[in-house]
Amino acid sequence: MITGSSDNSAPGNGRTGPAIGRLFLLLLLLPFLFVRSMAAEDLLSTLSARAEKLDSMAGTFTQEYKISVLPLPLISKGEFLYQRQTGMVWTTLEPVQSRLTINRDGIYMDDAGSDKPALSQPQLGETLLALFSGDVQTLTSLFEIKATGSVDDWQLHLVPRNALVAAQIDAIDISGREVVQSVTIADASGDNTRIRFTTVEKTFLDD
Amino acid sequence: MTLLHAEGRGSLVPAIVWLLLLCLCAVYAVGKLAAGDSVESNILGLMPEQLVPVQDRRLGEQITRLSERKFLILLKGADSEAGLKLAEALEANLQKLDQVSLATGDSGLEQAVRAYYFPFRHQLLSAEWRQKLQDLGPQQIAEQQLRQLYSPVRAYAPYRFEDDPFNLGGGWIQSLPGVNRQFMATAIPSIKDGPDNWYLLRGELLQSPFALELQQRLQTTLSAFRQQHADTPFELLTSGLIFHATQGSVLARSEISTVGAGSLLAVVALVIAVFRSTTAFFFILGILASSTLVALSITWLAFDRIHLVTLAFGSTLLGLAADYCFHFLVKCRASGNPGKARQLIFKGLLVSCLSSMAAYLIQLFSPFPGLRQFAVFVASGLAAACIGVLLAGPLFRPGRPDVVGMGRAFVSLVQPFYRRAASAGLPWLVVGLILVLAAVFQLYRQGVSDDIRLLNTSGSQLLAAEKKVQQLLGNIGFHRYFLLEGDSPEQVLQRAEQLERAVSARFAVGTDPVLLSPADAVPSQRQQRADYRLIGDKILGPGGAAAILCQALNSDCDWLDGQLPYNPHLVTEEVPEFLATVSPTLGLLRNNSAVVFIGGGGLAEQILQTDWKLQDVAAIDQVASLTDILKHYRQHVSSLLAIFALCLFAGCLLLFGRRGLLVVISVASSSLVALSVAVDSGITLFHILALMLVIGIAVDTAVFFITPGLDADTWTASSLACLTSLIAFGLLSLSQVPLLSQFGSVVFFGLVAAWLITPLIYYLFGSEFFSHGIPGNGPSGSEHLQPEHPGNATERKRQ
Repeated sequence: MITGSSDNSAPGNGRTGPAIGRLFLLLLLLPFLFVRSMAAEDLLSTLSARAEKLDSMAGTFTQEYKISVLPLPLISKGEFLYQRQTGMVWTTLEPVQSRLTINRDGIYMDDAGSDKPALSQPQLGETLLALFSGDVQTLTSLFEIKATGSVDDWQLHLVPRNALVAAQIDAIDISGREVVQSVTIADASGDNTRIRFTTVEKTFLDD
Repeated sequence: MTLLHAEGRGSLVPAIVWLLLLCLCAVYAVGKLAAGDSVESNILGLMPEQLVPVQDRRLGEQITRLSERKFLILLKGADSEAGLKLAEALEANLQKLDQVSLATGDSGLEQAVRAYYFPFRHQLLSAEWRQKLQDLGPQQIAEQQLRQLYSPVRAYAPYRFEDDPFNLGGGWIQSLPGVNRQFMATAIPSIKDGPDNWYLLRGELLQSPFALELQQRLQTTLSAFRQQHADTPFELLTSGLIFHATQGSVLARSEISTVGAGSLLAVVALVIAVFRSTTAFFFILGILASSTLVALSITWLAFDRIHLVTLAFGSTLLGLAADYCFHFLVKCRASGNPGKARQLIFKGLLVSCLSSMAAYLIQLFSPFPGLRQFAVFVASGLAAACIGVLLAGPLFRPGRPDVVGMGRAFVSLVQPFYRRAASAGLPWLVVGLILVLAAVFQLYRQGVSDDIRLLNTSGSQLLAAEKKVQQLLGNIGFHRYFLLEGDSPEQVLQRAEQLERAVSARFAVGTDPVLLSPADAVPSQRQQRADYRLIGDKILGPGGAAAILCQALNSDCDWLDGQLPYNPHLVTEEVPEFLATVSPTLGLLRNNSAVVFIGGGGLAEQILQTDWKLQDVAAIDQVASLTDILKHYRQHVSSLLAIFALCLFAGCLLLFGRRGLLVVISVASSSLVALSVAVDSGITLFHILALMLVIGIAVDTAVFFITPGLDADTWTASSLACLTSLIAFGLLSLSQVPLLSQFGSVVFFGLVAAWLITPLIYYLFGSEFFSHGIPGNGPSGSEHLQPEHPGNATERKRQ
């Protein structure tokens, strides 16, 4: 289920006044709330349509993994290449070197320590691809999504639908403009991961 | 024809006694029906008890229960979101069902599992981790872990980083037998199949899948769901014994009503068309009702519950019981004297009934409880019909001798036809010989077939759904497994681990589990100690990977407490009950036994057939075992049949002298024709069992032709009897249940053959051969209607 981003939290700002006055104010605001809500759904539709057109993108990333017992975050940097047909190649360049290939068949880790790639869960590969490419349709089946912002500067707040995943991950925040710019994963344990992307090249199917 | 006349009063007392007995049966039957639970639908109840070849019956039951109560439903919609909504709606409907426990997607079980294993996290290793620790040094392990920490992929981690920095616990919990890593973490777990997303609903029945009421409720819920969403495109696959059992029950019920109603309608139509008498109609109705009542009561007395398939088989009783009525009614109509009619048919009826009963009761030697019930049901019903006819028959009021219309057809058409045909003796002999050779060749070409799977009652749609579910979920079959035994749970677990090691060394199949073993949830103490040492040496001990990782992370790792002391409490005796959800076979360990199920699709057969040379490890393939049992019993029953036929032939020759040849030839030819025409893919046990009945029916026909003798009345009665049975068994041969269909078609063709061939043989030998000096074979009331056949006159002149 897609949840709109309408800011419908109670206006509990301590203001007092006759109940009828507040009701009137609420009635006045209703059309605005409705428009905002529709806009959120439109935003998701637009993002979904744009993700479908994304053919490839390449750039660099910086990942910060914050583990509560470690004084400093684990920061890694590298390059990524996303291609609609083949998936994503994630190359960590520092402080360690490794190369991950993520596609719909799974995740292949090709590192110095092993001579053959290790096949991991295909479902995880699909989820990660959806996260990095902003594939709203796939993400919708896995998360409750709240969208805010505009088409040119948007934010998605994802809460796992599955209780078992929710026991591991509190939420995922994705923000972007034309393409995804950052992904933040908040673990239930209190640790979190933030990945920032600097895209240098992207192509859409229309181009 | 009317009932109760002065001459028949001698039969009144035994008839009243019989009526009282019937009343007792009625009271008993009503009591059984009112108590409920008098009908059984468990298809496995038809099968021999050796399904699980273990000595301990309780253990056998436990193994059977492991697989029979679980069910799965997979659902996909037009797209992923539509599918999820439908799956949620279905889940809500199923949750309302009594006696059904649905596995919910909540994290309660996961939390319980992770909390339970937490104290043991430094002594448990998944096979993958164990291999890694054995192959790599601390430096390599630390480097790999470092790379993992810097990668964007987060594996499932049940414990905090400081408690389990190498996430050994995550590896362990994910390797548990009940965890399927192929599932997507959607609100309801789902699995990808190409572009489709299948949502999975798992459940467990709290009572037997053969409980008819439970079957009905589940079926109603699914049907209502289908109707409710008739406008939405979706596909639903089911897997589990309950769905097969439900289909079996529905099928059996429908067969019972079809065969029963068909037989009854045929009898009613024939009585109305042939006898045009309400008394005759009520006489037949009374005999059919009383024979069914007696059959039900005796079967309930003997077996407590009646199987639905037995009832489906048993509904053919109506056709057979009607035979006796027809023989009596035709003779009674022809002679106008009920007492004489009884006298005329007495010997034939008795011989026929006893031989048919013997043919049925020989099935008591069959390994199939369903067939044993069937034998008792039909044999007791036939006995009741025979007694009923002999007791109620003389109560008819004598009338004017009359002719049954069909008898005229015999005189004007049938008899001349057979006489003409019989006059060309030699060509018939040649044709007969050719047909016999062709039939034998045909049977030889068909061979035999004992595959138990051919008896499956489930429709192709259900089987396809089952196959698809199995394929999506990793092909774990519950009918193929290893049975391990030992002196203690520890010894059994050690043997299970030994087996797993041997299998994975021989068959490298990636990360998919090939064996589902209880040792995957509770390793032996020996294995736990070995893993504890390995973790100490390679990771948590001095110079281990943990220290190297800390150094790489520029941390003093003051949060790392080192390796916990070894914890000896992860043993079978102390495991909590909820762990059975993760590893269902854990419970068996208390009996010093273990069951290791086999997955891996095509590999399963290879794994099972390999001789692993391990002590007290038996490979069990229930399909193969049952097929073997079927083969054994087919051979056994065939021998019995041969002995029975020889005894019958000898008995007939002794009883009837040379006239017994009619029985011998009629039985042999009918059986051969029935088998060669009805068998289409190998002779099965059920073809042989049906042959017993063909023998009974052929004896019936031949005996009545000998005594009282083949005339218009006897032929009419035989034809009427044959017609009603033909309808009953013809309907049975169209059954969707292979077992019933095989049985029905053999009997159907046997009946046709007996009806057509026996008069031909009779006339081939010459009617004088059979009718001369037959005791009790006085002229029947209609003999005066038979014109003198030129052939008969010539024969007499020769003599």
